[in-house]
Amino acid sequence: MRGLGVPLLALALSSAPHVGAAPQVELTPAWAGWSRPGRATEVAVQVRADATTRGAIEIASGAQSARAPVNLAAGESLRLEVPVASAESLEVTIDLDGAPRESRAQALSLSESPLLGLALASGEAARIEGFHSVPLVPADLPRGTAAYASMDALVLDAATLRALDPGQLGALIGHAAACGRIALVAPDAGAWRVLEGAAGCGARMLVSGDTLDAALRRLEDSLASPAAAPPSASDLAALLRPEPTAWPRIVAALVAFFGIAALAVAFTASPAVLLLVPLLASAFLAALLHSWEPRPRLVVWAEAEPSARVAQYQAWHSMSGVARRRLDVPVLAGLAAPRACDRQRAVQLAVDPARAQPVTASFDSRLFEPVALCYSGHFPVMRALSVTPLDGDRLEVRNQGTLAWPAGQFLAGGSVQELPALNPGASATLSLADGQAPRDDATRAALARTPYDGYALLWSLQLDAVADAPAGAVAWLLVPVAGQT
Amino acid sequence: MSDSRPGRLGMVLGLTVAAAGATWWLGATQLALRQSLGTAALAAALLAGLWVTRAMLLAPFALRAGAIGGWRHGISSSLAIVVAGWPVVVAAASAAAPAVMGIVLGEVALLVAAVALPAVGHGLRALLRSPGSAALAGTVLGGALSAALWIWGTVWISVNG
Repeated sequence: MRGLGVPLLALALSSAPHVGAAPQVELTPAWAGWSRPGRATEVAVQVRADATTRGAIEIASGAQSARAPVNLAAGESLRLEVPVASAESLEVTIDLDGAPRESRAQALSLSESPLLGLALASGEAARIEGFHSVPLVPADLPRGTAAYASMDALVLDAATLRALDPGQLGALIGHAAACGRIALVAPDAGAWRVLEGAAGCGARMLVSGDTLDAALRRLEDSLASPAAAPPSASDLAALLRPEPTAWPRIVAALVAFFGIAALAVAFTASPAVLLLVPLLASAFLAALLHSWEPRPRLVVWAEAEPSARVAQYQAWHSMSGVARRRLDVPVLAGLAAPRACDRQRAVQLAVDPARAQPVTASFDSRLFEPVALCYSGHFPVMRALSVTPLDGDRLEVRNQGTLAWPAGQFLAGGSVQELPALNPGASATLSLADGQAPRDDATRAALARTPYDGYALLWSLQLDAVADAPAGAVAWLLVPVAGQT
Repeated sequence: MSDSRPGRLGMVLGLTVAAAGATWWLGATQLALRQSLGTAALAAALLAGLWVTRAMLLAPFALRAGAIGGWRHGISSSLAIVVAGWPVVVAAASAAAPAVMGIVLGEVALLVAAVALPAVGHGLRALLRSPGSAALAGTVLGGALSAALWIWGTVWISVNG
């Protein structure tokens, strides 16, 4: 019998479930862990597993969190960039099979001063007055454009540019398009062309120099021209006000209840009937509240300078709650940099590892309470135009581009008038005296964004690129033109 | 007082309180929505107001109804005061921030009072052996309870803001 013992033990051991090492989880914040209070940043999550691993990783920053499911086969690894709001400490919860639930605190360095990122292969030090310099290596650069909000200005050299992977390059191009301040030191001609072609704000925020000193000088000079402030929700408050769809329904339901109850009181004295009416009405109303689906609303507001090749947009995807429950808002895939509009609002973003993007935002909602997701990004545009004052109060608006414009609206001096569709090279002569008071919230918002003593052109846009846009979504493109009315 | 009157009167009182509260709440909510202001505080105020008003009505009404009409009729009319506001409570609870459990416990407390107070009124009638005296005693006792509730509510609000 003893002779059989060793082979049996070996057989038992070989048939036991394979217990590999615990999954390895590595967290790497972008920008070497630097950010600024109230800004967005990014944390790269890398998971390596020797055995099949399932679970989830959650990164919480204040009231907001991002949760990514993990589903790995043996030997696979997962790398994921999770967008997070900056905080002094990120709470990371790792809940994977084969390992005990783990909580980690990931510290971030928050700077009150503007941050100057120095991504220089030479490792040279440099500074700009008032900025806090942060030395960076290529791996520190994020893969999401939203994370560039952490860095106020960035200096890169050609070697660093060459070391960036496609994801990082895409985010850098997106940052340039969003009028981010970037200084390139002796860039390759091709890289410069790509970035300059994509840069927003007429590429005024993108500078280069043959040496670090020259690039820094130009970057300092560019600080004299502030980037145009994107419109805030308060600028467009009238346009963004959620439709009170639940309010009339509640009014109707309660009026119906009081009517039925009054009839019951008038026609019966049965205590059972009198008590049953409000009980049934309460149950019916509770069921009704949970069966109503909130109606989402999407407003996209884009602005571009005349002749700019890129327009910057802000989008608000909002809906009013209809009951006290968890409300899952699908993140629109066609729009970039999704986040909760209210940073104090508790929200959980579900990140899809396959797409490396948030797919759902979950809010705790209540009746009448609006919840909103904000997006920001850019898209190519062609609205090359000139506005020339003529005699009297007349103006000539000319399409100087190579593409025709649809009909829009012309805003000047606090009034609005129709602008006809214009083919390339065509012009329209308008009289300021024909302007009328704004008739809708969009033109009122556009007038508020029109330069003082200047003009603006407003077009309604088709949201073809946002396939999952809700019905009734609206989008606008405003081109403000400085000038003398 | 006929058999049917207490139940109807309780229902009418409950519906009146609920309709007044709902009208104020829906009007204030509409104004808040137009100005993009929060509505949760309005719903919480409605819930608190509805609870206090029903509790203050319940004390004299239930004691008096129990003393005059007996325990069974007292219960049915007192319950009507409480449950007539429930559809409004359900809607306001959906819009308010306080925990649902607290709201439910508040309603349960009202239900317990709606069952217990008529029994006390009935006991007063048995004790005093006169429906008139019992009704008077019930009304006085209920008024005192309502006043105590009002004072307690005022103190609670001044302490808790």
